[in-house]
Amino acid sequence: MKSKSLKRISTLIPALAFAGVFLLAPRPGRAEGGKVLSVEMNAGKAFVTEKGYGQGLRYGGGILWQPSPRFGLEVLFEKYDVPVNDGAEGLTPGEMRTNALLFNCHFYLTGRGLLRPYAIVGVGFHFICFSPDDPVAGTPELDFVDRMALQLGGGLDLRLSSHLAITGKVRYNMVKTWVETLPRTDPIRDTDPTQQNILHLYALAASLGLKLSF
Amino acid sequence: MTGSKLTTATIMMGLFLGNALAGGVPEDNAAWSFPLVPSFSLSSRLPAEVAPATTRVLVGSPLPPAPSWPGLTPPAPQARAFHPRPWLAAAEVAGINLGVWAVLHYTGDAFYSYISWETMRDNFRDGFEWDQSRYFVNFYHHPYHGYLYYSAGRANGLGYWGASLCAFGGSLMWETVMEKYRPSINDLVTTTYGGIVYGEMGYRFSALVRKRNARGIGRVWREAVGGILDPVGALNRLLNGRDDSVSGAPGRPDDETPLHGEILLAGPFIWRSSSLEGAKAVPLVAFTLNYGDSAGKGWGGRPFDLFTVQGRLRWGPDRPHLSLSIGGILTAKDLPSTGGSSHYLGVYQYYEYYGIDTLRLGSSSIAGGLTSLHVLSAKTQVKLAARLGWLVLGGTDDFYYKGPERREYNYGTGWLAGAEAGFGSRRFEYVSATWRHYGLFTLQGQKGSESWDIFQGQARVPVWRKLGAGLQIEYCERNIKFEDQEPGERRVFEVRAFVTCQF
Repeated sequence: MKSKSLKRISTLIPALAFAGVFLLAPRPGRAEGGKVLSVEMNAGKAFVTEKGYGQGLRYGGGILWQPSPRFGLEVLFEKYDVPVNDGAEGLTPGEMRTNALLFNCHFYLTGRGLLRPYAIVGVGFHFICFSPDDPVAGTPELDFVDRMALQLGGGLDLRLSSHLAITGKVRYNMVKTWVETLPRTDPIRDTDPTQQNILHLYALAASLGLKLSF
Repeated sequence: MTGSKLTTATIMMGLFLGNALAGGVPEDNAAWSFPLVPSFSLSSRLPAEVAPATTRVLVGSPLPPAPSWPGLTPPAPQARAFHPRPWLAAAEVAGINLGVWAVLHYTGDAFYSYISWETMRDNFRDGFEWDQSRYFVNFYHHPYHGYLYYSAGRANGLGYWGASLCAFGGSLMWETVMEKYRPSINDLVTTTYGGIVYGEMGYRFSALVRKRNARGIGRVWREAVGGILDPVGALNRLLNGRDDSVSGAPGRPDDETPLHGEILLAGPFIWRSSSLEGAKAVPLVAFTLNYGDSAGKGWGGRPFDLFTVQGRLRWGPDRPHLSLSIGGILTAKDLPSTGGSSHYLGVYQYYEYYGIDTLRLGSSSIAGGLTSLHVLSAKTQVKLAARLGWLVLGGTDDFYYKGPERREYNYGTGWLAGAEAGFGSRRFEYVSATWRHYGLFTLQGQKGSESWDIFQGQARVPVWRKLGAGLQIEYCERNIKFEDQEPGERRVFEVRAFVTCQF
């Protein structure tokens, strides 16, 4: 029940974030000085909605390139670890460790201003590992199959100066994958996903960070 | 003229989209055919009546010079010109791929959409292969995908060649990183090649459908139809706001280019090959659309200023069968002519998806040839055309294939030749005939070679105004010489009656 509620909430939050971008867009205000390159560091929490998975710390950093005032392209690295509890399909208790390389587009609703809301659409390459709490010698090793996934969400920049901003984001990492037994005998291309037990490891990633613009 | 353009463009769009969405494919007992060479409607205006090319204002052409004012310096007109946006085009191509992938992955749960860094690495490592996809997927659906890439290029102000690069780049991206399959060489060819042809056709037709200063429901309808024909262009117009006053703006309405054609409704077969069983009287609708002046008077020097689209939809006997054939001019050179006649050498690009009964052929080809319009009298003319070229990649049914894999056809390359003749008077085409020949050497599948000969002839008489009636003869012969099989042949012959409307 808890997982179901969490799934609903985590579906609702990005949807609200998306809607908020359009509803709460402030009027154009202070110019930001034409900065096109930014470095961002952020941290927050990740919530995985699949049954048996928990929440954990996430942190990341990356570069944002803004070729136009209303559009930005972000390359971001993020990491989050969440616990795998009893009830997780096909796994014993342990930890899911995720490293992700994300390529996201930011669509700003305003070209300039003190508050700049934006929508996030992109894809990410997710490298996911499973680490059991109590590994049993002699049993086959289990792991998640790496996956590319869609990213959807929204964010808000609060500009403190022409070079510095606080940025908040809510984003959904929509990873669909399965657990495999290692070592793999065939190339991943030859594995039929329709014959696997697909896990929807959709992670809601909420973060707060600093953005330094040049 | 405008009404007929809209009507025919809408019909064409409906048929085109219907097949794209329904995935309808010509299979057994689908009798239809397309001439190889772009057919020409002799119902079009005679050369003397055609607006001279020098007086036409083409989309994107420079405005005529302003008149001089003695002693006065009139304010210089602020002519705004559209600047191409190649980076945005590239971004939209990538966006199309990601969008299609997201739909396939999250709503369709397509098994080939489960991609990762690892599948991409493997694809680059293992290189290209010939894929096993079904015939209609490779020869119809893939070109439609390429159509979107090309549309993205055109929608951002790129010309034919720039948009062609978009089609190639989009297809290359899809093949290498957006599927877990190894990249497919045949998909790269058909997606790019078919996408270019479909895309340019859609772009041109969308400009015909849109109308300057349209308002209300008329504008909504026109923009909607234009959006189906030129999807990315319509999206850009929606997001950026249309400004048709900008010179060279993508999707700008075109109310100058002539569009002629014919809609044909065939009735029962009069005669069929004795070997064919189950012959039935099934409704059959065919259309021909000739964009631009097929005699070459209206060629503005850009690829596809002249092209022909032909299609046929047949209801039954099992389900609707539809296909399209598009051929457009890439470049041409006028030859000396007298007395209103015209002759020109041209290079043409074709994409065809052809089938008659149990014979199917899909092809991407390029050909050169001569087109001549001979004016016999003020109201009578004869047109002749001949083509010879390279069939870049073709796919034909493999009757001998019994394997468990899905692909039941061969890939080949070879040559093509064709000829066409027509006679018309008083804006009505009375007689027309086409012949084309395809020779293919197998690249993948049954080793060997094969040849196709297809003849189609029509004789019509006018009945009332633009309406007429006539007989159509169609003959198709396929000869095969495969290494592990006895040489063989298949023939289909049909005669059918029809009514027609020329415009």
